[in-house]
Amino acid sequence: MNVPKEGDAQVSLAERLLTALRFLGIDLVHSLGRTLLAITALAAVIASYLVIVAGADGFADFQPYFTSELPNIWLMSKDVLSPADSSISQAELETAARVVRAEFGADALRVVLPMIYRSMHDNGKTYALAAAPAEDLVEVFKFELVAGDWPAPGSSGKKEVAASSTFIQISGKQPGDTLAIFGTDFRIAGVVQSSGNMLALIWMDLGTGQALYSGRDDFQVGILALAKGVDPAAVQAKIEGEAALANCCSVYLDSELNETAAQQLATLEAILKTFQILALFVVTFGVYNAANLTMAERAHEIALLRVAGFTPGELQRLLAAHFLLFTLAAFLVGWGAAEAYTAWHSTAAYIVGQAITLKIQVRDLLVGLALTLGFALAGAWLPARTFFRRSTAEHLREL
Amino acid sequence: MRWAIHFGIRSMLTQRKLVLVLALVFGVAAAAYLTLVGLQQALNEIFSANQTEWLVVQEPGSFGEFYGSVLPGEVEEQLKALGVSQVIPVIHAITGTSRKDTRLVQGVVLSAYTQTNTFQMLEGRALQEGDGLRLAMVGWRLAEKAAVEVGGTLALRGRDFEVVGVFRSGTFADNEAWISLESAQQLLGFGESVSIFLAPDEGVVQAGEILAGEGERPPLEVVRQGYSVAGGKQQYQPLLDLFRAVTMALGVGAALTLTHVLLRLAWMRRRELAVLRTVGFPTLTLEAFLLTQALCILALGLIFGFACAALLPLVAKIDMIGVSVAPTYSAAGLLETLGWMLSLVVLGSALPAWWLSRYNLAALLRNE
Repeated sequence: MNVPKEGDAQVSLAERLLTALRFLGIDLVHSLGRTLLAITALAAVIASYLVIVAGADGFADFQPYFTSELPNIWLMSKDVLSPADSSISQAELETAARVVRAEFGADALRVVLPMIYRSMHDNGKTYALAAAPAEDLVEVFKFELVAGDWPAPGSSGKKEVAASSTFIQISGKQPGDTLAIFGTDFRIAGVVQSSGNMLALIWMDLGTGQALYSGRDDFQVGILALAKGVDPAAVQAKIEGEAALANCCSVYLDSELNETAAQQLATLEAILKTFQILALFVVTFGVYNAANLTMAERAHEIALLRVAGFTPGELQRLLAAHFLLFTLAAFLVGWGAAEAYTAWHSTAAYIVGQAITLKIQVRDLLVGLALTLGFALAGAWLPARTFFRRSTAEHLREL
Repeated sequence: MRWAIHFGIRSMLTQRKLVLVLALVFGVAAAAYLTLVGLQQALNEIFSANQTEWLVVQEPGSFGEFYGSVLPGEVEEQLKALGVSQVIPVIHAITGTSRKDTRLVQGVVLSAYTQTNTFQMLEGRALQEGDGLRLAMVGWRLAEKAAVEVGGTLALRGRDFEVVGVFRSGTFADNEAWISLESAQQLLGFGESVSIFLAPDEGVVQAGEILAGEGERPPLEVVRQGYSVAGGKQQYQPLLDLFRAVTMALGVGAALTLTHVLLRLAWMRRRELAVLRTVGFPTLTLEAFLLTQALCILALGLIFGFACAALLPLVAKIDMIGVSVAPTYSAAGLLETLGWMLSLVVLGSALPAWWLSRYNLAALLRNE
């Protein structure tokens, strides 16, 4: 082995680093057991971090209200938080529509959509239940049929519903299966999906829904689908200013409703963020310990490298490279464990019919990797800084 | 043995920073576990319901004792026509438009609500027949959250209600504001409708039964009192399962880190340990040496962890749909955390003890 000599002009930095890396490689193989142990410990923490981030992403995607490309106005009972507590009459919806058309023109509204919007339980899970005219729902929210058929209209007397793909995924039911809703058996005629929402939803024609509720003619929300170019804020202000609706109704933009719903989960996000930060600190602590022990155990070898011509800066970089590789290995193992967990336990919560799913995004991985390496670097740098404050002679004297 | 303990402590003191940092790792694991136990306990307390002989008749698929059920007033007569001897209407709703002003409201029949609810007044008086429409009694959790006292006002849906009393029921109702049924109907625009009807469990209708809509009667679901509350808790459970998995992983990480550190510390002290063995100290010396270090690290870690857990309620407080859930710490929770951490320490020190016991330290010393 060609050992570089101090002051040897022919020995390049690359050669010296290669020699040092070879030394570290031999050292790693020599203590493979404990290296694997340290990597596993760090991987468990990194897996925790990635699972928490996946949970936070799931909560960030929480959108229990339908959205569409163009903004919509939602009319609900005054100051109710959940549409399930709302009751709007046809007369109130028509008043709102009339006010808008009178102010913004007859073409200001594409569709005026009454919707029964409630919930139902099946096998211990809660799903959203909506009833609205099929053609309007397709027009406003771009519902697409992905399997089976559209459910029969209420006037046909048939008891049919459509299920969203999320409902199918969660419930395990298939088109053609029977679903008991409030004591009445319905056939799942088809599967629908809309890019604007991921709710686990059962949808039926408005007539079918009204029949289910024994002919009740109220509904929970009235949706005013605005035409292109109509200012939603101005429409909202106009309806809010209408005296006939002042006591009965609140007017929301669909984006506002989703923001309010997401706000309800803000405290959950705070907890998840706290745990993320704690996990990153544990990464730092883990690497700090490993680096500290490595230097304590290898003080002899490090002192020899100093004698052989390595500067403290070069050795610090070498140590950093060593622990970055070490952390990278732990990250890969942790990622694998986190993926296995999210595949096994893919749902973090069900909130008002929406499944909060755990999915590790590419962005999460990249940010997680950068943060983990950053925190690991800090963990390696801190003990190295202290170690190299002392001279080589001091280190050698201790041996 | 005393020497081994002494030596363990002395050995740790030479690596003070290392021990401190390892204690921090344990502190994080302890804080996470204690928070998890505290949240679970808080959920159990907040989402508890009295086991009563009353049944709830609600709109199918709803959490009627929480929100989402609206039944026409005529259902009262329809239930009586079925043979139900007593029917008590109640309104449950969530009001507010943001997280901070979200309130759970219960509208009660003033002449009957004491039959179906158990509570004790902490301050002021209970609502009584003849009270005005703008009077309310509030559960202690809500009183705390909204910072209201007897004589103060609580805004519900933009209208001010005078608080006449603060009560404790030990159930989910501690999150609610109770007002008269008539007041709730006006406030919420229910007209003659209500949310649910309470009926005695006398065999006429059964818990779990769904009465399909018939003629003018809407479909109805019969559940036992407390069903909705249990459903509310169920919604949080998957989240706690996620926290549990994360906490377990952090604990395993801490135990493995401890294993790694103890192993290397012991290896660095193998000469001294070998000398002790050579002069006649028993094999237990090694175990005592390792366990002393592990327990010291645990003790330090618990101090960090409990201090951290004391601060965590400031951030680890779930406030969702009018219900605030902050970790509740109890002696049982502390003991459970201690048990978990001790098991981690035992696991963390068992492997190094086994590993090192495979070596004949004295022979190793001779070879070196």
